[in-house]
Amino acid sequence: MSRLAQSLLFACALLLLAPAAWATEVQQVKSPGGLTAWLVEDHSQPLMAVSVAWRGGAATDPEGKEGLSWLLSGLMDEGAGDLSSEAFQDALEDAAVRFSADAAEDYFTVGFKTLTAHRDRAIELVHMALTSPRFDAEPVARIKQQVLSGIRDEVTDPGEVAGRLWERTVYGDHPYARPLEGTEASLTALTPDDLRGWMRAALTRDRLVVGVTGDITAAELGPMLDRLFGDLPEKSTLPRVPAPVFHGQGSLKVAEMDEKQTTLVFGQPGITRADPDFITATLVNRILGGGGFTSRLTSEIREKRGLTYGIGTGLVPYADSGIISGGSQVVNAGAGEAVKLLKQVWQEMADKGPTEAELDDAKTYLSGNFPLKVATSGAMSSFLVSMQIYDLGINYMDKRQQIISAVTLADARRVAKRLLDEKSLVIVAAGAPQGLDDAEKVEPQAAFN
Amino acid sequence: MRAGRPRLRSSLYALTLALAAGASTLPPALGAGPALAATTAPAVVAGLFHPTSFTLDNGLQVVVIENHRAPVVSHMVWYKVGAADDPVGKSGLAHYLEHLMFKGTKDVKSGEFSAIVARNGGDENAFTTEDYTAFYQNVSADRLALVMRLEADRMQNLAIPDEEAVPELKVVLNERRQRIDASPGALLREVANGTLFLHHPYGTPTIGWPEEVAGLSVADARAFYQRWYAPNNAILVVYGDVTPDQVRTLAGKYYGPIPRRDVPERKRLAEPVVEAPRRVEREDPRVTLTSLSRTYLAPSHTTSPAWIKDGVRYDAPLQVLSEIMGGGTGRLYRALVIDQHIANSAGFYYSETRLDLGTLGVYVVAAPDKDIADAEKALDGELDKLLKDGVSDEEVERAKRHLIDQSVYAADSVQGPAQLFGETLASGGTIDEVENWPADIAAVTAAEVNEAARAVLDKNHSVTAILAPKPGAAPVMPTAGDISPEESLR
Repeated sequence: MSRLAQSLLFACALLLLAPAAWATEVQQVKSPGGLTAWLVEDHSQPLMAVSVAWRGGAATDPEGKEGLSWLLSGLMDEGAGDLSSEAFQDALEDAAVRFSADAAEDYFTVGFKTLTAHRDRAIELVHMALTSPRFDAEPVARIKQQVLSGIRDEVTDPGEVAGRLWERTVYGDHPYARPLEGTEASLTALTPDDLRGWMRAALTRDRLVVGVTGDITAAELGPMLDRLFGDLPEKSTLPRVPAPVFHGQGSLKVAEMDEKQTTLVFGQPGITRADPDFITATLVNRILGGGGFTSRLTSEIREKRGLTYGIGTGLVPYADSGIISGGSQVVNAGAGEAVKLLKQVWQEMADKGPTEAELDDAKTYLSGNFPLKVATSGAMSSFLVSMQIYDLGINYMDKRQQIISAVTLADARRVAKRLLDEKSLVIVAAGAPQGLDDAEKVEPQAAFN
Repeated sequence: MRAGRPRLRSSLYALTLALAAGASTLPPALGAGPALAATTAPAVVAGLFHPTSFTLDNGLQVVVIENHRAPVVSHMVWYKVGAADDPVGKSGLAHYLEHLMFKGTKDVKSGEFSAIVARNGGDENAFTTEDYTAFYQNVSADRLALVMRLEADRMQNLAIPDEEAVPELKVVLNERRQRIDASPGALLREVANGTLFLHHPYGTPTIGWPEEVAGLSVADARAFYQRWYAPNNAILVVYGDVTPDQVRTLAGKYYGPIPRRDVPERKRLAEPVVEAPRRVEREDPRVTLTSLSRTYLAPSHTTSPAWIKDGVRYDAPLQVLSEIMGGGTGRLYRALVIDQHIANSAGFYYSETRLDLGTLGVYVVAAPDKDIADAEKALDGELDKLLKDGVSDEEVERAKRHLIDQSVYAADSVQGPAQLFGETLASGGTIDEVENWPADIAAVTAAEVNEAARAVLDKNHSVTAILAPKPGAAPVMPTAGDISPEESLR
């Protein structure tokens, strides 16, 4: 072994011995009005990031009003109070506020960043957006049209076709099978009253979760929380969405599209974030397909055979369920081989689990990567929200290292077996794949009908 | 497509976002504009990042930017060679070599580079543009020596086993299918670009023409590596929780012993001056709305077109112009989308971080029930108004304030500042350009913006590209998928 290789091995061993010690103090801040936020103070730069989530998202859109929360997310910065859409946009820009809103299946999120110099104005504007949105005719029509154009574009997108078919196959008539942005019919029918109604029902104080990072003290943050959120309704009236029943396991579907590559979407039921095995499952996923250039799937399908530019998998936690899913775009002529390899690698992980070396590498990656994962103010504030949503505890960042270190090879093998089953995989291929003759043929249109 | 307004493209934030999202050819940086003859003293902070720079005896330029807010560093090596330096007939070679840089050295076997970085908690990748090829690792600050050792090793000891190179060429061809063939817009951009640059190699795609990529050999890659990958043709940028003294010691230890080699001068074919508006069109069954984009040849941060008089710098004024015209609050969106309802979106952008000529672009996506000819008329109407009446002092002051305010966010990033210095220096710029940027922007006047607009917005030096639905075709073909894994930069 060369000296370089030796010293590299030594350096790798170091991390196991001496994990980077990085203490981050998370404070729980209570406002005078009784609201709570988690805060990491960081006065190194004159800016602040605020992440907000409400439990309850697009899955609660009423039947026939699919796309309601998605449309709302596009309209939250399009005018509020006495400011028209254009005036509101100008005001955000003049105060250098970066505002975003997003609707997911189980959550509705809002985030903003502001410079310390403009903080008061930023709070005023976000408060207006949350409490007195205008939903004037022009912006409503304009944003609807943009969403509609997106919906029409999706019909020709194999990623959308495969993803939608996968969701329909797996979720059947559960709300998770519906498109977040709605359908042409549902979107067209939505009114400003629908938007206001959903806001009143969903963006309430009892469902609010807040994470803040940056140039602000706990004493300053308390009153700020009341200014931002104190005027929201107290209690949510959203219905509870039941956990889905999973369908179609073991199915392989092909949607023929005239294309030079085949888009694969695949996955099976997974576990929830609250599951005690979640971190172990994260390690197993990293080794299987979530590890960038070092995963087994990348090694077999990209590096050794050149069938794709990339393949990846991930654990996707929902409120009361979860999936492990992935995607890839493979060369048409190699689609059959890629699917065969996918199933093989999947089942081999289920049967034998990772090797000791693979597990060690995944553990040191997951520990050592953490400071990078939360290195920006936006990443940190949004991590603070995740910690609360998933009930991980306020000292989770300190405990995380120990949870990862404690995972044994026996744990990883047990969880791999529990989590993965090639026979549970639902695989959808959109494109002109060869070698998938035994697949069920479906029309691409079936993804949207 | 997401609801809402298109966000500003010419910000550092957009740059880092694009990087995180895995763009291979990166969008232009927020401007690193060379100083105008600054007569007014602007009321802005002097300097953005306060870097330290030095050069090793072997010619490796080193830039260190300190940021101690988190215990992480970004370590980047930039080679001053890109796709515009590909030999004629071997397009895509610079990019193929970038892929092969992960295939091992004498001491580190293929794939081990990535495995070692990952096992140490790091994120890593590489990217190629027309002007440079860059490799980076983001790691805990205490892993800096490790990644330096690895990167220095492959600067001089690359081994490219044939059995690794062959499947990797297939990977690159798959990358091309995924990035270009799957996207009607990308296919048309290739043609438009080749039409705008008739002779200069910027007209050839970075990833290469597929017919030529298929013929690239390991010998080609080795020769290209030998020719260009030398310490005196590279820039090392380290950003984060580190001091200049630490970097000086480590860089001296790991990069210092690599011998200097003669590297050819980067001489590209000059773009001839032709005076003809060009127009290309493409119909594609995957497209639902007709769109138009027009790209003009423009000054870059280092080079001006022949028809612009010598010694005049327009890059800072053009950045201010882009802020006034583009984005969700810009003139084009307001006029075409909000007021006239003729477009679904509209925008204006300026790409200046290039060794040779830059480009300035406008685009409009027609609303579903509108004709693209009318949308083009409306777009031209706004441009004519700009050339005739100019921008106001108020607009300029506001745009300058926005640009400078936004730059405060630049340091809230794992990699952004390293990216900015690397791409500026690797495309012929200087550290002072980046540091003087707030002052340069603050010094811009409305008269300069108007002069720059009139010099550049000349259809004779532009190509207009129209992408339209294919009439009568069943819309069953895909555009670029949303589900590509995020770790697919290289």
